[in-house]
Amino acid sequence: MAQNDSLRKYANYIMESYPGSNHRDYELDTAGLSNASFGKEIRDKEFALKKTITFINHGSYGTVPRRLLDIQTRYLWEREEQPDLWFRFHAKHYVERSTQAVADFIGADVSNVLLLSNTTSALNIIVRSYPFKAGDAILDTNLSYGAIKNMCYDFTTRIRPDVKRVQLQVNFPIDGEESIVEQYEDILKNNPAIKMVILDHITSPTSIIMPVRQIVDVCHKHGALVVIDGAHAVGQLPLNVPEIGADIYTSNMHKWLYTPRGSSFLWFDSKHESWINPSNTSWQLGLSLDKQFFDQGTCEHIPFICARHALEFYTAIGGLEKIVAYTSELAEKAKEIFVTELGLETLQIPESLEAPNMKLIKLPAFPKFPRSLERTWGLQNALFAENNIFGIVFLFSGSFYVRLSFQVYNDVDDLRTVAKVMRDFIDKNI
Amino acid sequence: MFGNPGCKPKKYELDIHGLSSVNYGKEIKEKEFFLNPDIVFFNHGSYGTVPRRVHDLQMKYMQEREEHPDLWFRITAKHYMDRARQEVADFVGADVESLLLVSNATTAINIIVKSFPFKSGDAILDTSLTYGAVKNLCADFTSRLRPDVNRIILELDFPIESADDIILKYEEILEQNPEIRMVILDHITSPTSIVMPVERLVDICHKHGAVVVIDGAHAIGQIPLNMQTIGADVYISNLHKWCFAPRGVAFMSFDNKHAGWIHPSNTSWQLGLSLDKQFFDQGTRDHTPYICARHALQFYMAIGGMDKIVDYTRQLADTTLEIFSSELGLEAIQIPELLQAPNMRLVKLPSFPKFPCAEENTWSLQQAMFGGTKVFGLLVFISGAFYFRFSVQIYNDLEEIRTVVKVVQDFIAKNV
Repeated sequence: MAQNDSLRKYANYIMESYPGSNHRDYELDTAGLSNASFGKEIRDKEFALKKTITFINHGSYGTVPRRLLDIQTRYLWEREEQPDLWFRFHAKHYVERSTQAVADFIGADVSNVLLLSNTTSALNIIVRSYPFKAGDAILDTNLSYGAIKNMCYDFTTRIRPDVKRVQLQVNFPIDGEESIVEQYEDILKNNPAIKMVILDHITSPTSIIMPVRQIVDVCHKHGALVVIDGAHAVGQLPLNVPEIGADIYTSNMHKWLYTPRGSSFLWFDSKHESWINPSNTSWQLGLSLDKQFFDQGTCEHIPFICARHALEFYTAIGGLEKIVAYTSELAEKAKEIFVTELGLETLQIPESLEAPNMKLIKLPAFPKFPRSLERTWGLQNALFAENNIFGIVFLFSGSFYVRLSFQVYNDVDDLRTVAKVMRDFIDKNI
Repeated sequence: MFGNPGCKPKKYELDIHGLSSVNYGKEIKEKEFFLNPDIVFFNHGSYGTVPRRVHDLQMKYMQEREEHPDLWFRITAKHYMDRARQEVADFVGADVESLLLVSNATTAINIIVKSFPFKSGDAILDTSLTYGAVKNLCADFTSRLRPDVNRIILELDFPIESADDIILKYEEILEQNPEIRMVILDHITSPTSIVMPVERLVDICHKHGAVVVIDGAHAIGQIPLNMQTIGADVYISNLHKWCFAPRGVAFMSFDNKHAGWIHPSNTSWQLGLSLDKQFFDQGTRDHTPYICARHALQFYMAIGGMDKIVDYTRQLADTTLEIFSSELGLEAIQIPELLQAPNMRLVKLPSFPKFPCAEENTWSLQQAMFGGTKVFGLLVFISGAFYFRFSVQIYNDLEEIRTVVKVVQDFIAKNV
């Protein structure tokens, strides 16, 4: 293995600095952000969103403020001025600064945080890395994110057919946190083979905040690892990741933290470092995880690098308290408008489990749009697309729901616009 | 298909005005690239560089994405990506249905090796000249992921006499090891920059029942490529090296009969659907480098295409070697001229008492020789000696070469 050893030593050197060149120090221009008014003002000044459309689906892909686009461009220019220096030294330095900022934000140690494209990648990496034994089982739920359901299926049929898949059917209506925790107790008791539990912090699209701390305790009591898919959590909920006590935690920063796509973090408890492997084996094989995850071939690091600046933006406009105070108010207004005035229902979950920035409104039955998966797009098109609104419709538990997202660029007029369109549609189609 | 009225995919074309008449060398470097005018870039092969016009288009796509993110991720991005795939497929003579775009060659090779249905006792073959990261992949795969699969390494020593020499060695090793199921072949080795006789090698491998995966990372844009004539099972190349595309974008072209076992890194929404859909949806990510591959090819063609470009670069590379030889007495790496990559060459350095000939001293020698100068040069350690691997691109010229030679000359004068 002598040749591999010397290759590894060389790989160490390429990360050090080349004499005569320095990293730059970019800071986000935050002038004026602390007194920007939420709603139309911040939308026009700070975001690039198309003016003719009402956007009420921030939760799917987030959006990047203009100032972040500007700083992203400056990094792109720097990269093109001297590509070798960028890929061999500077990019790693910038990624490390960003990782530190993210770690601080989530109360974690920087050595337990990795930056990568998105939570789908993070979860695929974890599930495919974990040393399952034959007969072990992996647990997801009927509320798990669709792509993750697919991953659990694919993993236990194609990649490791000797590992079982168990799926918890969470009962509706949900009475409270205790009922969910109890369901976990039951299924873990009845399936001692469960070795890994994939838990959503905020489910999608049903937007339910799961009682993660209690579930983590229950899982650990039964000897199962907990992997939390917190895709929607960072920026929307107060988050101290180590305190949750999970084994792995991942969240998308491009959803509620304004980072460029794709940008997410993967946090792991130190004791799991040895079995985690990135998607690609490359130059940094055998070296520390941050080096391995950085060097996945020549790739795009700038979205990760900009996470630090996105946090600067997020903090400058008011941080979690100010932002969620605003979005919660909009959520309350939405209830007034859609429930009280339009007579529609929201998803039947306790208020304490409702995600602050997203709300689900149940649609009545429409004869022209029978309640099936194939008719979802057609309904969404007819209801929203043709009316210059972007909102999503999805099928859950036999009914169509609209998931509304509230962001700092939305205001009550947006809600009224959507309500009017919905009322007209309902009148014509019932 | 759904979408808000007035929101349709746009038609972006690269502005090619003036490109057919711009002069190579300083003029094109200044006008068309961002490269620092004070530095001599003699290592294009590692990371390539993106022209201003391609970058500008990438910005336009990013702006469009922020105007309506949902529309972008649900409809438009895929449409743009499919257009890019078509252009790349046309460029390399492949079928668009069996061509995918991924971030880089490393990703593509990891996907192929980790997807392939190896049986216990099968073997995978790479060589002593295989790209380092891929060597690591073979080692990792056969020790951690599939310890029941063997790894065999073909030793290709220097001097390399001829293509026939290489062919013979492959014949032998395949003959002696019938369990070899997959052969990883570099089209242009890195960093040794040898163009391997891939067409003949593909035939031999097929004769012995092995699947051929070609790592052509450096090939597209540097040498003529036709997927049909090469006949490999899988062919991979980076568009951000010699085709001016943003980072990172590579294509992976495969024989249709292999579609059944190829799986992307992530299982996601498109499980069970066509490969192009699966590879597109790997979670929310940045597709703009893939999308811009089409415009990179537009740029490549507008400035003259392969004939004009490689004519220029090959000549400059030849001249560089001549100067190193006649003025500094330094020789090129011992490979037949016919197997030399047109744009990348290696020149052997003399022994330096202060820098003993060992792999671990490569970096400090590189720092000492080029650090603080106007030149970024890459040094590599091959077969017991240090070599300077240089790349020539259309933004280099004779004056820059003289600058590089002088730096090397000065260093040798002080250190031998």
